[in-house]
This record gives sequence, C-alpha cells and structure tokens, in this order.
Amino acid sequence: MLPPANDLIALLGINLVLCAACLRLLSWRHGVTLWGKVATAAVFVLLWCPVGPARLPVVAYVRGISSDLSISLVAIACLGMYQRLQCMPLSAQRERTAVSMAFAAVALFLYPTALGWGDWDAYRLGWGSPALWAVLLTLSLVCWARGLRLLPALVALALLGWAAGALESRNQWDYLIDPWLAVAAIFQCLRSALRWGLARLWGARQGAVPSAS
Amino acid sequence: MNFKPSGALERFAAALLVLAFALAGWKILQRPEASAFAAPPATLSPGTGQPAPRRGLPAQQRSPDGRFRFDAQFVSSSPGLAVHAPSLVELRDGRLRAVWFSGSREGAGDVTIQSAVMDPASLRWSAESTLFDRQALQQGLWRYVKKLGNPVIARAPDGSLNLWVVTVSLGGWAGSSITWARSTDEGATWSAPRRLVTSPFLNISTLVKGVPVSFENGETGLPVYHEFVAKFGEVLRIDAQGQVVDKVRIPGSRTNLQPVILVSGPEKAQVYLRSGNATALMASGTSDAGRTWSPAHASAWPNPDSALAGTVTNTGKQWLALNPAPRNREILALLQTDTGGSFDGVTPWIVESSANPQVRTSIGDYERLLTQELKARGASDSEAQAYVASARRQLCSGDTCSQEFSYPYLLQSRDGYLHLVYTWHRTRIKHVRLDPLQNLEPAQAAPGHASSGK
Repeated sequence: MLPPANDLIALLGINLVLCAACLRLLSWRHGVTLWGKVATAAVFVLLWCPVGPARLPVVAYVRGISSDLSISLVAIACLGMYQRLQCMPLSAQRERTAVSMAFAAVALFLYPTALGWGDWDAYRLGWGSPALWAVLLTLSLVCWARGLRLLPALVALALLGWAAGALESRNQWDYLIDPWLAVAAIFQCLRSALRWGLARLWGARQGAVPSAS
Repeated sequence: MNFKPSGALERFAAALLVLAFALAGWKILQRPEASAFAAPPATLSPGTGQPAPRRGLPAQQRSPDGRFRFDAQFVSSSPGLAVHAPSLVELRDGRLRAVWFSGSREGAGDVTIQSAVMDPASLRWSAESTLFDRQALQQGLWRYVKKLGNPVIARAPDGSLNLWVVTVSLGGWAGSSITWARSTDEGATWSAPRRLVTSPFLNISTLVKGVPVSFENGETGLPVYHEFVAKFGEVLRIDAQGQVVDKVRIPGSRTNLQPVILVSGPEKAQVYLRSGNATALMASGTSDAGRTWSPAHASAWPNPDSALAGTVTNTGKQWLALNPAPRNREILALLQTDTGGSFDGVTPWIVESSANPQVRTSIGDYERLLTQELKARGASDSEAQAYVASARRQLCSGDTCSQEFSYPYLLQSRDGYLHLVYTWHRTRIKHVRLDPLQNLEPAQAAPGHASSGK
C-alpha cells in the first residue's frame, strides 16, 4: 500500500539524503566508482523494505528519529549526488559558504526562541507571516545581485514546496531548514572560520620572520 | 549589482524564484484572520439550568466533607493495568465517551488508547475497547512510534469528534509529538492518524492535556505544552482540516505546563497552568481572543506539580478540578467562581481525599482501603487483587504508599450535570457526576475516603 503523498515525499526525501551521504562516504578517497554507485542504489532499495511487526519500510524507522527533512536539505543532497554521479565540479566555494552562513544564522535565530529562550517564538513567523516572506525575498534578491544562485534556488524550492503543501507541516520554516541541515551549516561555518583563522595566524607568523637576505 | 540572468539555466532559476514568491505571497494573503472565541454557553437565569431529576439510580454518595452529593462509578475495567489521563466528550444522543491510556506501565510499548461509553439513564459504563495501539499508529503515521501518552477527545466545530494523542518516537516525554484522528460516527471508527507539526526541532516536545476551545471561524484552540529545555504553555490554532495554522506562547510560563482555558466572553479567557516546580497554580488571561496572553502569575492555590481541568457551565460559572494540597495528589477538589472571577479564596468541593494527606498510608491500610472500594463497586476478589497490585507497583515504596486522585477532566453535559473523570490510584479511571446547582450542606467530618450515601 502506498503512503499518502505527504508521507511518500517525506520518506523519499530521507531516503535520498541517506543515499547522498552513502555515495559521499564511498567516494571519499577514490571518487565515484561503480561499486559506490551499486552500493548507493542498493541502499535506496533496502530502505524501502518492510520490516518489523508494523511492516514499515526501514526508512520509516529512520523518520521516527530524524523527523521530516527540509526541502532545502533534500535539494542540497540531490544536487551533490547528481554532481558526483555526473563527475561535475561541485558548486563554487562562495556559493557553499553563503548557504552555510545563511542556514547557520537562521538556526541560531530560530531554534533558541522556538525552544523557549524568551517569550517570543520565531517559529510562529512560518505560518504565513508577510515579514518572513519579505525577509526571504530581500535575501534572495541580494544574493542574486551578487551572483549567488544556490541560496535563492533553495529558497524558491522551499517556498514552492510550502505553497503546494508537500510536507505534513504547514510551517515555512520546516521547508527551509531542519536541525540536521542546521548542524551541518554551523559545522561548515566553524570549519571555515578555523581555516581562515589559522591562515591568518600562519600568514602573520610568516610575515614576522625576518628576511634571510 | 546585476539582476539579469545569463543563460537558459539562470533564466529558469529566475522564473522559479518569481513563481515561488508569487505563490507563497498568494498563500499568505489567503490566510484567515484570527477570530473571536465561539459564544460561550448561554447564561441562564437562576434555576433554569437545573439538571434533570435522577430516577431509578443507586443512592448518591456524599463528599468526604459531607457538603454535597454525587454519583460515582469506575470507567475502566482492565485489572492489573496502569491507566491514566482520561478525557471525556458528550455524544449526540446524550451518552458520554471517555478515552484514556492503559498498559503494563506508563510509557511502556504496550500502552493503548482505550475508550468506553456511558448510558446516562443507568450511569453504567460499557466494556472498554481499544481505539489505537502503537502498531496502528505506526502504520497510519508511516513512522516509528515508541510509546503513547495522554489522549484528549473533543467535539470539533463541524460536529465531528477529534482525538489528539501524545506519541513519542524519540526519547522520553520531552520527545513527544501530537497525533490526531477524526471520527464522523461518534467515535465508533476513526480516520487514519496524522501528525501535528508544532516545533521546528525534530517536531518534538509538544504534549496535550487540556480541553480545546472553539473560535467563531470554525478553528479550534488546543491548549498544549512544551517540555524540552524549558517548560511553557501554548495554544495551538487548528483549522477545520485539522492543521496547525498558528500558536501563541503564554509568556512567563517557563516552568509551567498543561494549560486549561476558561472562556468568559468573545474576546476574554483565563488560562490556568500546572506548576512544573510544584509551587502555585499559575494563571494568565487574554482580552483579545488569545492573540496575546498576559504573563503567567501565581494564584493563591498551591499546586503539587499536578494536572488540572476546567469548564464553564451553562449558568456561566467557571469550574476547576485540581489537587489543592501543596505536596501530593491525595486530595482532589473542585473550585467554582463566577464568569471571569478569581478562584482565590473560594471554598473547595472535596471530591476525594485520603484520611490524612500529610502522612503516607501503610501498605496494609492501603490495600484494605482500595479492596474495600473496589469490591463495593462490583469487583471480584481476583479483580480487586489485580487492581491493588497495579496500584502498589506504581504508588508504594518501602512499606508505605501515597494515595493518588489525579489528572482530572471536566465536562458539563447538556442535561446540566457536571462530569469529572480522573485517575484513581493509577489503576482505574473513575467518573463522578454531580449537580452543579445543588444546595451545599454544612461541612461535617474530617476528609476521608468517600463514604456511601444514605
């Protein structure tokens, strides 16, 4: 029996993200191999196999823990998987940096207030607030004008998903971001900051060494 | 700055962006405005709200302090199981349907949502039946469910019945989400369950306990609470399709939970909350139909970190059911006040009380007390033993036990009677029916187990 459309989309999204993670792990050192492609395809199929007394697909058990994933995370995972399978270069570093910084900033704004830090709840904005719409439009236009395409495209897909009611949530935030994407974005930002800091430190130390000549 | 797209892919991306914002903007414009609370029950002139007379029923029971009389009977009938968190709805034909959760222990994987129906003519409850178990919820929700918790049943503005159930997939109760289902045949059959999405953080930590309220535009206001990291009360606005369209946090309720809403006018309501740190019953209010709530403040009533319930009767009186002792759940009482009034200082109607709420009961006395009441209400020897064993498992430690009358739920039926259901020693669900307009007699003896009426 097929699940309702919302559930099917959510399960498919989780499955695709897991497959993208699998492909990335398997192509870590030697790039995408035939073995990696076959293994990823096998993961995709295995996750649909029904197990347990409730005869739920494996991916439904993952869904119990992961909750539904955002359209943004699924889109990023699918893009990465497509680029790897097609042996295409990954998105430009500045595109990825912009995405990481935007999602990290959103996470630091959204989750503390939603979990009870203060009496104001940013999650409320997601049920159709014109203010959130305006902020997203401004962000997308600024990015577009600066030649960044990935972040506006992710926002567009999330908004289209929300307008169509693709997930069981009716809140825009759930289409834009999820905790897994937030953790990944914050991790990327910290890694970039650390690299930048180390490079600056290394540069300063190099500059401080007197010239041999 | 360069907005002009170059290349076919960029033109497609630009078109996608324009379409997305246009559709999202259109959807935002379609969003219904928040509306006033649906009209509270009409205020009747004194005397006209009098319940129908009792006929052909067993003698009523007198309250522990002797001030009022009521009918009492057990609802659940599963000896040996842990039962908790009942709620109640009146069916179109005047019968009552109760729901609660039941299993080997609270939080166990075998917990199910049970239901029974009461005939108001005989005051007899039917045999209980299972509405949902963990497997049925997993199959309907297409995800793993670890355990089930509080169910709340209520009539939707469109006349159907809604059932909201706390479900946990991850962690303990702080990892809860709310699952709901709808019935269009008075609870005989239910739709496939669906999940309410109420939090961006893995959709965890929203639980339900209180009675929902209705809005004029057909939406439902469901009082819920959050437990992960901080505890606070919230009110969900749910549309006619059962989807969350907004939620409002009750400010200043950082350690409080399980809000109960009492509507006192189209724009006015009070909310009362359980104190998560066992201090005082907390209160808040709104004068704009729940768009904003005042900061929660302590009332004069203590609260031993226990749930409460409330309702507004057809005469406009507001009622609360709660545990008024500061440290335990050994007394269960009703409070009554006028529309929009304060409960501070009112005289409680004691429904149940242990003989000495300050002192734990010895196991021997505890078993004797419970067995006596169970048998008086028709339990066989073996059933009574199983019920008592379940209560002992949950409420006794060492050689003493604490008596517990907890998790009340209040409802006024159309015939004017006030109905209270609650957890009795964690082993049975008990139902009390009383006439809210009866004349109170002077207080008599010290509190004790409810005695049979004469």
